[in-house]
Amino acid sequence: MTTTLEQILDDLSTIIADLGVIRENVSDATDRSVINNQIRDLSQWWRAIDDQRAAQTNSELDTAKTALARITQDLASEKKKLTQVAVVIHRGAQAVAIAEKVAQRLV
Amino acid sequence: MLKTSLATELLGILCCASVLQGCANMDAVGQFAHGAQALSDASAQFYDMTLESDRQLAMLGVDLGAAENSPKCRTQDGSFLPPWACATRGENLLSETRRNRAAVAALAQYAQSLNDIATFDDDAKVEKAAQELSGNLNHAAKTLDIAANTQESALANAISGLAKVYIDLKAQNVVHNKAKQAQEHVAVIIQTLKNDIKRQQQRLAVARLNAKATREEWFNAFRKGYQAVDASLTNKAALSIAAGHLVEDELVDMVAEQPGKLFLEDLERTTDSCLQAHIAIQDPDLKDKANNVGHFVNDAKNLLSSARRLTQ
Repeated sequence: MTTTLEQILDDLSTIIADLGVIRENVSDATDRSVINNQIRDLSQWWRAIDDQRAAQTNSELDTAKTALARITQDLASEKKKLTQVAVVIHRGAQAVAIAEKVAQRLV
Repeated sequence: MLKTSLATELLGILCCASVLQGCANMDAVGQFAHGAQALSDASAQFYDMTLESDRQLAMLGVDLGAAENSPKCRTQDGSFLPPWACATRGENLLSETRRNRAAVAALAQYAQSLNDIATFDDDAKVEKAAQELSGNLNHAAKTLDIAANTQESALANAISGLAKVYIDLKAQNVVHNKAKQAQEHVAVIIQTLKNDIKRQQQRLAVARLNAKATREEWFNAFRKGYQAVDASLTNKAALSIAAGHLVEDELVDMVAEQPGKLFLEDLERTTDSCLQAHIAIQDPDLKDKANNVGHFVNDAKNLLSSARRLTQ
């Protein structure tokens, strides 16, 4: 099984957090200094690995974003269609209203 | 005449009854859109925060004593970055945050488009467009000296009422279908944001611990320098000021910890409820799922409050 960069980052952050807890319980200056330097060193590793992780592509997200943008466009065109339908029906209603008035005058 | 009038009223009641159920659902779409916009705004702040934490880690990691070919400066192709390039690298995270932030913004835009359809109001706009387009009708009305007022005709009124029902149903249909179509993409964007939140929680914790450890080491180094036999008064003053700043930073950091944590927790909660709300608005019959949209709106409100507290 291949270890992913995400898993390495998870493990590293757990180790750093554990060191932080140990640091809180250590009062000897020399021991604290050792722990402090370990935390600093591992933090830099964490950032270096995070930098590599961030360089990875995310095609799934790219696809999702493109698809959502397309759906957004579809929705805009559906709105246009709805407006057109409403306009046609409204014109029909206007025509009926005029026809009724004309008929009333003729009677 | 009475018959026509009764038929029109009946039609009106039928129209309302068939549309009412959909109305509740369309309101939910509007709420979802507001929530999604709040989520997008907060995520912009979140990604700024991510870059800020990364900059802090970079600053703390400056090691002037490091060897030229430090393993931490090794690139993926096996080569080594020069010390300055190694210390300042951060472009990958910058690109990633831009890409992911844009994806969340696309989600908010999509939600707004759904809302545009859900709140489609044909009355005023359509009447205006119809008047502009139906030149022939207007001309005929003018020639005959009669106004084409649809309100005065029972049949025209009925046609307009039916049209409203048709358009409302059509709008609901579009919203539900498109929301279903978008579900898997919304889920991917939400999951990415969740992953980013988890990573930022780690980054924040790592940066905070690193800062604490570094400050303590520097404080001890300053103290040693201050207590050295040959320390001049000027050096002692400079070291005292520098040590004072370290103490101040430590205390500021303790105060800033809680709002940052709360913001990330609120953001995570809102991403979860956003997905639930999006599933809910796909259902024409909201019923129990109406709560999901309500929760999302509340979470989004709390999130904005957390975001405001962060900037205070």
